[in-house]
Amino acid sequence: MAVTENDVLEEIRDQLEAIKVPGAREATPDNTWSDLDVDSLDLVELVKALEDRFEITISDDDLKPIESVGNAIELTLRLVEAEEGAPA
Amino acid sequence: MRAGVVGIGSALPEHVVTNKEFEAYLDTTDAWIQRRTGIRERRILNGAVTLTDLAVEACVAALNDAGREAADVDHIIVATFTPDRLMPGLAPRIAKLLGTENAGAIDVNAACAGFLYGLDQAAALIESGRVKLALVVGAEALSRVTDKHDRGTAILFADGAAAVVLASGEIEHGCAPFVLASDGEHGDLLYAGRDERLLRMEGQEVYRHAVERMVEATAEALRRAGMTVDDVDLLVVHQANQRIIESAARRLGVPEEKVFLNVDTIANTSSASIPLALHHAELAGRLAPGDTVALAAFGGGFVWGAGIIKWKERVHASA
Ligand SMILES: CC(C)(COP(=O)(O)OP(=O)(O)OC[C@H]1O[C@@H](n2cnc3c(N)ncnc32)[C@H](O)[C@@H]1OP(=O)(O)O)[C@@H](O)C(=O)NCCC(=O)NCCS
Repeated sequence: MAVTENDVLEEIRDQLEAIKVPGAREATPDNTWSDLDVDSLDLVELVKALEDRFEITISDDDLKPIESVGNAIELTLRLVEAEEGAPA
Repeated sequence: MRAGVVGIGSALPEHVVTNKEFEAYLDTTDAWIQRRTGIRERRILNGAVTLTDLAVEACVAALNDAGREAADVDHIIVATFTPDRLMPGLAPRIAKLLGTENAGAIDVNAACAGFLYGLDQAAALIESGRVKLALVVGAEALSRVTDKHDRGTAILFADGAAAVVLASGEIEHGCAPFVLASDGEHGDLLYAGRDERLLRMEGQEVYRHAVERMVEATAEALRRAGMTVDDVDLLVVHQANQRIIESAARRLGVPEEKVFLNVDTIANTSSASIPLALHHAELAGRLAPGDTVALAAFGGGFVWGAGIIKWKERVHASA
């Protein structure tokens, strides 16, 4: 089944909750990492969770411009699509 | 014949360095350090006391705890990469000062995983019957190889020593089997060079590898011991950074109340960190005889490992 924007948002919320970010459940695509007080080590955890859940690889270069929940959702959907398009 | 931990002791330098002290000369804050690492303060050797002195103090305490004499010790393994001299290592002098009778004495260097490697070696010597009573020591003065002006590392590393007494006996579980591994591909991400003699580190890369490798190794060690995470009474991970420890525990599914932390006051003491944590856990009432303890460590190399031990199981000693 195709991965939806909401699937990724829920995974991000779950992970933020696991690492005890206040307000994790109410996080929206507009929230930036600084709004949520997510630091660089939190991001390492978030990336790992997205990689495992959606079977993608997020490089450091991919990650550089990612500043918000919405950016992370777009990146994940793009990588999932690229993965699905790739010959097995 | 199995190898069981029957005593433990530790020693810390007196001099305390708080996070505030770094604010005076580094572009950092107490809040940043606490949030990223969980560290509030650390101990540093800064006077006439040597690392040998500290290690001997830890060994004496461990032997007392075990109710054993130095003369009974037939092998001493000291995990360190910051010995008082390049050569000889710490072990022969420690053996002499303790009053052993010509015990075998060797230093091992497996960076921050050194104590686990040393414990594995000592356990193997005991299981094979070559050794009956061993001391395994972690002793480190990382202040000797820390660049005080590098804010990414200066805040992390510290000094300390701790030791366990390992005895041979008819016990159920003991110390084996450990999972030990390495990947020399990443030798440049955490190292101290021969000329510069200072620790250099790519912090975030190390963070990622450390969590993944320790989780894998701990899961494998549990599998080899025929156990699951539910059997673990206490998880004692190399105290490098609270965030690494919490992440590893979360991925393993070990609840917070079963995770021991003393990185807040000890910081990263490399190979001394696991035995220091074990001793502090026992002093805090978090570790009792018969408990199942999962140990995991990771360090420069990369080298890493994990092992499941039973804490101070009743030993029907044959030594
Ligand atoms: C060292 C560590 C705390 C750094 O945290 P991090 O989030 O990875 O930090 P980064 O390296 O991405 O750096 C983020 C910023 O913080 C800065 N920074 C580093 N140390 C700092 C400090 N003490 N105070 C303030 N800022 C600091 C960096 O210079 C960087 O600034 P920049 O973005 O302007 O370049 C972290 O990587 C860590 O603990 N890693 C594991 C290290 C370890 O335990 N090693 C031993 C294993 S045996």
